[in-house]
Amino acid sequence: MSPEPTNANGVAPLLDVRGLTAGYGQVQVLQGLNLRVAQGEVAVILGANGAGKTTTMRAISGMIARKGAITFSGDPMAKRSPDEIVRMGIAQVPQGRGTFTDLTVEDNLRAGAFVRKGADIEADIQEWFDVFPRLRERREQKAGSLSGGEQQMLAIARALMSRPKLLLCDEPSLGLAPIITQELFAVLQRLNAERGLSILIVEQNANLALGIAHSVFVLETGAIVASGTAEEISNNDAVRKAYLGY
Amino acid sequence: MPFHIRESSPLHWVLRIISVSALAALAVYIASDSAPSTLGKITEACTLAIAAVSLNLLLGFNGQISLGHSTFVGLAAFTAGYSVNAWHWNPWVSLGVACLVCFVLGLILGLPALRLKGPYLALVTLAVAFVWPTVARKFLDQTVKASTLKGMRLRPPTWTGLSNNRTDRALFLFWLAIVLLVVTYVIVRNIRKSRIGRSLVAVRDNETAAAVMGVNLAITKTVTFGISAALAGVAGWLAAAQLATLDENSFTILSSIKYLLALFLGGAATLAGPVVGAFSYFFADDLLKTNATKWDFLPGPLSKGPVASFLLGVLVIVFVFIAPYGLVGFIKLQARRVAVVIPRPLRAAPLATESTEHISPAVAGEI
Repeated sequence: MSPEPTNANGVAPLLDVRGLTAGYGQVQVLQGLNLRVAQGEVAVILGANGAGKTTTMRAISGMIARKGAITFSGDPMAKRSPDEIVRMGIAQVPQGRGTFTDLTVEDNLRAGAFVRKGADIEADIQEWFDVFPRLRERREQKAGSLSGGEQQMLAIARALMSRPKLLLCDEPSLGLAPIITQELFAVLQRLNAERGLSILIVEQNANLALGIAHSVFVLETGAIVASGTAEEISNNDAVRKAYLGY
Repeated sequence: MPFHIRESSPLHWVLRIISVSALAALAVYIASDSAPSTLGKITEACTLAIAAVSLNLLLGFNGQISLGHSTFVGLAAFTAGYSVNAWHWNPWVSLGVACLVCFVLGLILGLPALRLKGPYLALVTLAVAFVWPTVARKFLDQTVKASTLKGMRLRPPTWTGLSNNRTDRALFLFWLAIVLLVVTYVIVRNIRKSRIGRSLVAVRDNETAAAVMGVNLAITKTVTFGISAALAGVAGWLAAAQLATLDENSFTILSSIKYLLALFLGGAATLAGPVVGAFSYFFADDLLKTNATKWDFLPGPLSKGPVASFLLGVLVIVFVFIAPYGLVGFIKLQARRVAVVIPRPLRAAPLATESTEHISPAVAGEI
């Protein structure tokens, strides 16, 4: 057996993706993508439109056919179905306003706990209502009546209802006002800092993403072209020109 | 300022009990004081309501359209009629078998539905609805060698104290229809209020989000199709019990359209909608058919000939503008001005032991 893959610190990564290829029908979008997320870190995949960000997310959560080696906490998961992957501890906040518009806020959270059973679901709902008080105020409203920012918060809270070890966020800033996006990233940062939640975010808003990232991967046409710490990537000229505009 | 009622408070329960008793009293009153023909009409309306309720589970809550529900209803009616007449099965056994047959066909039809959505799914189910009468015709030609299949005659069981004459049979069928409607309604209601029910709506509202929450899309969609078909089978069995003869033209695409109409008139994706819609549609149709021919105040050509369907069509169009969310949606909107039900508070959480780990609420509070 080959030695356990480790990152720079010598710790086995939480998520290890190697040579991931995936696509839709005849079109191959991901061309052998490699990335690692360590336990307790915020990793960011930066990429422009069409680079394959959402496809990466969909491939990790098992929504599309994919090839390559993916391990989660050392367990291979490239052949698992989406529901098995959720049970392994990966939750995804889908792109856009990924709420169930016709369910109430509270039922959205209950739905998020679909893979769980037991009384502590109610306790978790309480807990996320403490974290997001606006959701408590609106708990009997249909999710579709919430503002964009509230819906994105609800989508995050709902994903957390499955008690994940790793949270995947697909372009959380999409369609939100800058101030709301900032607050959203502050929440993600706190979830990571205070609860040790590992987070993988795909974004094209480089400024905000680099602000909270520990490690960064730059995705171009289906492959990672650069990776490093947030600082290294911020100092990379090509990345600066392409994503930060200076 | 509307009147506030707390959910599950004594007042709320009293109001619930009063409304259920009022409905029950209405049924008893109708049963005690109606001609067999009136009872027959209500039985027919119940059959329509059961079909609409079954379609609501699939289309309203799970978002899968089916124009093929007439096929499930027809298949169940033929299964019941044939097994009882040719094989002398017990009619009650045939109910179970008819539902099972429909469940299986529903599962099979649910498979292409996995890859198809909206208009494409409508097209496939439309094709099924079109094929059914031909299949039924062949079946009649080859097995009973007659143009029709006999329905089944249900004898009222002795414990009901009803005899086997026309009046008593009508009364028995009336109560049977009411019971079957209530059972179907309760099944759909319980599904909707459960964890599975939330996943149905989740799949309808956002497939990707539902899948990444751990909902198995394929199983959810096909099984929902199957259950909906089985419930439509109840309507078919009831039709077989009520009709003297079954022929292939009793269950065409027009019936499917009727179920859709009943569902949307009443309010799709609401629990009471399909029932309210079915009764409103049935009796509006009935009223117009009996009376419209006598309305000589109608202008010009409308005063002659069959105007009932025309008037019903106009009514439906007008109605869609007045109450786009159906009768139930309309009534709810009006009722909200009079009284509002306040949801019950969340069940108290056990004392949080990790409260120090909580994220400060202020972070998210402003969003």
